[in-house]
Amino acid sequence: MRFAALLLAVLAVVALLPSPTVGARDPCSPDVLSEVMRSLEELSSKYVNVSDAVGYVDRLLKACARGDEAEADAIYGRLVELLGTLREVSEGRLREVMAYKAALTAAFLSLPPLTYVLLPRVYLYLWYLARRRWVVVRRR
Amino acid sequence: MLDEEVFAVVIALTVIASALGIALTWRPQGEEFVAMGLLNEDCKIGYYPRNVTLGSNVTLCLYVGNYMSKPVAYKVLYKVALNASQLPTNTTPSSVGQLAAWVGALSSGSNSTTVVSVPIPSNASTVGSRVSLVFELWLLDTKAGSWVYSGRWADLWVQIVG
Repeated sequence: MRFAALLLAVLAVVALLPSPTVGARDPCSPDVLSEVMRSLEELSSKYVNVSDAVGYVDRLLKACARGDEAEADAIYGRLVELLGTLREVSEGRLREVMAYKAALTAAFLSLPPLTYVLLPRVYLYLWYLARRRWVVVRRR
Repeated sequence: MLDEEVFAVVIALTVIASALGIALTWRPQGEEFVAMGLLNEDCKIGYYPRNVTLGSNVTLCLYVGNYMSKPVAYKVLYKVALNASQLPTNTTPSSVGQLAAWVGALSSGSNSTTVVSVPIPSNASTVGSRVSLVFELWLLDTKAGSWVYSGRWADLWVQIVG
């Protein structure tokens, strides 16, 4: 009975402890900055435009250098939100870019056979078009 | 006009264009590097200060360029080298302590020019001597979680006047 009460008390204390949220981390620590930059590198490798997020990191670093913790916390919060949004679109963006590259490759690959098939036909069509008013007369 | 030889040349040209197009579509990234430059107060090359007053601030401009194919966080450390042996190399930073630092982050392929106010130390023993204002570029190593020296540095030799 005493053990159960002790266990309940420990669980209550654990439940009341603040959860590790974004604001609880020091946004100026190299570990947190590295984590953010790793995310940006990953997103960048998936062709996501990360320039806005990099702008936030720039402001975050400058706020940290000034020692402005409140500003750094605020920027870090916005940065984490933006990273979440960018992660959601990253897979779709990667698929889009790969599909575009594949389509472009297919177009380039089809260029020689299309030229082989179409060029004589187009040439002949134009040849006939240019001479369609010609009258054929038997030579005497 | 369109005889077999001309037709063969046209086909050859399309094959070359096709191969070139595919190669450019899937080309790998070029050489990856970061760049740093020291510019004058108008953010232009040349007309750097030659004499600086003890304890004053000198206005200069720092250029940092990121061509690493990924975003980078950077830090420029400012140090004063009293002689050539205290200058950094392409592999090791200067051993003297830093006097100031400027930080920032850059997207891939972008650059920044920042006007900075460089403090000249008020060490009376340096009056009349030539010292080097050293700027080292450090990058955040995202794997190690620490700042590492990039090997890029710039310096400006000045005469300290009282």
